[in-house]
Amino acid sequence: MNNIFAKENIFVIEEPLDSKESFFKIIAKKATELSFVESEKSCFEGILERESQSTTGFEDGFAIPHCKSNTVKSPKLMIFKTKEIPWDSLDGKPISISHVLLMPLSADNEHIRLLSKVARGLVDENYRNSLKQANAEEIYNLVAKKMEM
Amino acid sequence: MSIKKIVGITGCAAGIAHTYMAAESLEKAGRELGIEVKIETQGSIGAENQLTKQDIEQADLVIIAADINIEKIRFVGKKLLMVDTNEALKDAVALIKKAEAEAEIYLGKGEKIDGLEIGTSSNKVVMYLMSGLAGMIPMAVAAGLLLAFANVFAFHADPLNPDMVIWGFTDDARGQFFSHLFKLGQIGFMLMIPVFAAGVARAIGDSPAMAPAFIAAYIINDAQFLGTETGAGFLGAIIVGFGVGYFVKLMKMIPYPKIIKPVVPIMIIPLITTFVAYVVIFYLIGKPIANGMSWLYDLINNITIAYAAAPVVYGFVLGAMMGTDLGGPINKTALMVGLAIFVDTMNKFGILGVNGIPQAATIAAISVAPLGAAFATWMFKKRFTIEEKAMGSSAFVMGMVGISEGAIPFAAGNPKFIIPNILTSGLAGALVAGFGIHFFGGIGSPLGAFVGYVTGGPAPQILWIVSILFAAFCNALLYGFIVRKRGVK
Repeated sequence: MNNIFAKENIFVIEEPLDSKESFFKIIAKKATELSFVESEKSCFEGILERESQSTTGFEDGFAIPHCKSNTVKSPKLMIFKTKEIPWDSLDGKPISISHVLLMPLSADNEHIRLLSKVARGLVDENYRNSLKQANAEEIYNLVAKKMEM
Repeated sequence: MSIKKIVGITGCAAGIAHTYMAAESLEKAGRELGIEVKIETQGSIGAENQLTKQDIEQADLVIIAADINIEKIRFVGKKLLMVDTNEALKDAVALIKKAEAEAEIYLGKGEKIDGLEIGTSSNKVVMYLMSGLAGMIPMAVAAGLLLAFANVFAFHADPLNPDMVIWGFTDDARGQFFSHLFKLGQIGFMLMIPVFAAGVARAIGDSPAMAPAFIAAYIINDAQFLGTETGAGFLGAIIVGFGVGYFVKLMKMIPYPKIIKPVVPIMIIPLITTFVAYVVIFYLIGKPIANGMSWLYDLINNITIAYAAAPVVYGFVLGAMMGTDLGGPINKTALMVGLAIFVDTMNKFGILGVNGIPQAATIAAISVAPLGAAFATWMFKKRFTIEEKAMGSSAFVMGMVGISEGAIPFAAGNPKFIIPNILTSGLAGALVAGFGIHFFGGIGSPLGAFVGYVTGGPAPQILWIVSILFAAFCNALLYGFIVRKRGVK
């Protein structure tokens, strides 16, 4: 079992979110609570900065926000299921499932490879559809299978 | 031609997500379209699934989907399209179709070959000088050609001695027209210096630097103002351009009070900079530079007259420089030297004493490398690939309109080609300079004899064309020699 992804990294957020920024604040807060990062502020800023370079909103309601910063202690994957968040995604649709990648500035190649597998997986429509139907438990199983944990 | 294989590279800033998603999208699209797709990912783990030489050779298309800078020298001569990662994520099938329609052969402009930057320059000083030249060259062409045209009508039979031809404009309507056209050309030559300096200064210090540099370069080139024999010419303009540019850059760093901020760029900076430039030029640098330049140009003219070999030597050096990096900094330096000597000697000695020989050497050399490459692909058909033949045709077209860059794909693909480029470009320079040809303006190719103005020597137009074509032919032979062992079916 690797320490990138665990059941506790999956969050289902019921409160409606009006913007990417308010969502990123939640991500930073949760990441801090799980002590994935040193500083909540740097984590938020890291995600925001990456997002400002070009949208991480993919298509079909999926987004892949990430933060590559030395505030991150070790590579982590967090998954958020949310109410629809308005997003300048590639197909213009609002986002409801986000794969959040947290990366320290230097990381083990194996870890990056695992994260890249999850990212690659999102291109597969069948995989996306199963994620949409899934509850937290099922999401864990799907992603774990993708990472071949 | 239907596409069978596509290779590509993906890369994003963080190197964890989009690099791989874009690769996956392209591979998936390839499966849908029945095209073999191989994508090298340049993520934070480094390059994976690396493209081999064979992969690239077999590929019909190259797609680079990246948000970061990707080394492209491997793809010289291939059809290539560059997009960002999101475009590949959005609709990779559409991207492949777009690449089929829009990908262009990658010519390798700006690539570094054995440490030599080809076709362009990232060196700041060169970039600033180029900005100055960009404004000045059209002026040199317009003024130079009109002046040369008017000059033709200045020669007429001496009314007192009909056997003699004298230089001067007649006083009738026709003579008036041409004498003023001639004067217009002279004014153009005088203004080139300030235009150049203003362009350099603007590139460094932005628009507030323009006016001070223009005025300062005008006075440093005005012999009457300085009280010297001649102006400080091109060298003076370079010094003014950089001096004013950096001075303005410094002035901009001052923390001005908010209330005067709006007038800083339009009033305060230009006013102070121009005043400072006046003091520095009039009391410090104007006279020494002007005298130095005057001495230098007298020297160049004297050695040109006294030693028959001198033009051949400097013609070769300048020509060789043109062929070295094909539009890179060495090429631009040579180009500028030729132009500087032309403009300054025109201002100093007038049309009868102007020295357009160095400029003839640099301009004649421009088309030797691309034309030589084109001739080589025609003469040694079996030694060049289909892509190279296509590049040869485009090199021919570019060569005929005076664009050295046409030869870049050859040099980028095989750095050994740089040697014949240097030698034969130098040969063309040496030949035209040896024949005593002056170049006034026009395009740098054999066509320059007609679309342009060359003079001097026994038959300037013919010698111009023959020199360039002969050098290009030699270049082609050397190319053929370099690839003598190659055989392409």
